[in-house]
Amino acid sequence: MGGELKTRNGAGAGSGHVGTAGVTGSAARELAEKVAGLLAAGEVRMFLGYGAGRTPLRVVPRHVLRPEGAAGLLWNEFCAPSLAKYLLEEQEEEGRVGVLVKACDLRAFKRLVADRRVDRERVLLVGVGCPGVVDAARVEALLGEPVVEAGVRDGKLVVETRSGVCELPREEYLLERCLYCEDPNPREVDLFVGPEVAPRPARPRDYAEVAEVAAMGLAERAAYWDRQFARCLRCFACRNVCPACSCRECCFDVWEPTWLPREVSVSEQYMFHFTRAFHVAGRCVDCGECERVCPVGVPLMKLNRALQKEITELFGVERPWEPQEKEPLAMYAPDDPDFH
Amino acid sequence: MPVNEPHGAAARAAAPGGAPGGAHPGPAGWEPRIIGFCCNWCSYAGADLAGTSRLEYPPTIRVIRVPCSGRVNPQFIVRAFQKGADGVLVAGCHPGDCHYSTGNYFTRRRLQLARRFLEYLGIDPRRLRITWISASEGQKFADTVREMTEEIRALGPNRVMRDELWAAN
Repeated sequence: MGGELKTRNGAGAGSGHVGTAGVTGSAARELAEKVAGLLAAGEVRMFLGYGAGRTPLRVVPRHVLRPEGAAGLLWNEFCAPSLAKYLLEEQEEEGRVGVLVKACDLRAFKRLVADRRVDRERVLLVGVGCPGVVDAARVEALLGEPVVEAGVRDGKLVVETRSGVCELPREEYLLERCLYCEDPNPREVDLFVGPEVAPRPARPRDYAEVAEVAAMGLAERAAYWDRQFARCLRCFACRNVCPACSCRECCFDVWEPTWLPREVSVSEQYMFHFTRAFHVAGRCVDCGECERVCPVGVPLMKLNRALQKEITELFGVERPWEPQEKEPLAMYAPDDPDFH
Repeated sequence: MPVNEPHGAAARAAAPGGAPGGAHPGPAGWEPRIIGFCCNWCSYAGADLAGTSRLEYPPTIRVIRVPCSGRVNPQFIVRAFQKGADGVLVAGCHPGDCHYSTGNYFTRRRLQLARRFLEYLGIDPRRLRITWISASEGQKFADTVREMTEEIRALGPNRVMRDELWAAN
């Protein structure tokens, strides 16, 4: 590799063209070997990992069915999507499925298990230490043209487009969730590949972004949300990606009662966004996938985090983003705060 | 329906200064509209008692009977504000007195959170009142409606979340 950028479309872990030297490179090689072994031994009928996408920054989920397919698996600093929710579809079929999880994805997985939507026994969790993933949207917005190659070299994010090569400070282009990450190594997995990753100092959860909104006056705040919600296309990507949003029948998909009419107005967007956030209140795992997949940049985590903050304040739940033994809104205490 | 009047963001911008000289910041002749969700076992009976006792309270409230305050999905509250309510009252049995033993305890938790969340979205918390009214508290029901009406009259019409068709008044 010799410091050269090698992540190209289609290049996989097994091909020797591993995009990132160091931590993810060795983990990627180990992953391909282990997955090939698991499939050959019949331990899992399918393995769910990452594969090359349209650009090096945009990896896609890859379903591997045969040992030889494991060579196409990717693991690098661009593997942002959480794969846990894809397990819902896999539950329909018999047999055990393997899935690659980062520490944040493991929280999502635990959510699905706690909600009894995924059977823990039928999943083989393969954990990997994560050095933090890159926020592709911000890099793309900065460059303004398609990325042909990308990788990480000496802690720098190196991206190549047709007009040249650009070096960026990786730490500044991480997804927000990575800044809050306390332990980048998933625990309680069935198999761990690659080396453990040293944690970086985690940003304290001080809800600064929530306080910023709360500091506005009521009218100003309503105007702020009007602007945010007016952009919403109602594509439901935030709902579809959310590990806490897994109802078999969603209230937005039924016409009787019509919780959300076809009409797209700011008023109806309030109904959608209020409901989406409130339905995951106390169950949101703070993975930030909703905000990451939003095509118009609605600050959805400002809604989720506001609810987390209130749940802590009102009901004393210290870490509301972790699956609780009993969900805060599925229980009560006789001495809960009353209305005055 | 007077749909040609300013609505949505325009109306909201105009609202604070609206109706110069009036007692409230709303248009002339405006009266608050309050949706009241009353539980069948306590608060609805309390409202009934207020009526049979001939207690006077402003005719600003439209009562919807629900089996328990726990039936009040927070979406009901959002829908009420969307469709023109200036205030929402949720009334149930006192904690410990729920006909279904624990329904109102869950309500209390859920609506504490919903109320704060609505405030975060820009709804004045005075527009959403959750209170416990027993079947013998006809007076409390009348007082609650009166207080709420006065408070909302001072606030003026609600604009936040409101469907544009209903925004004109």
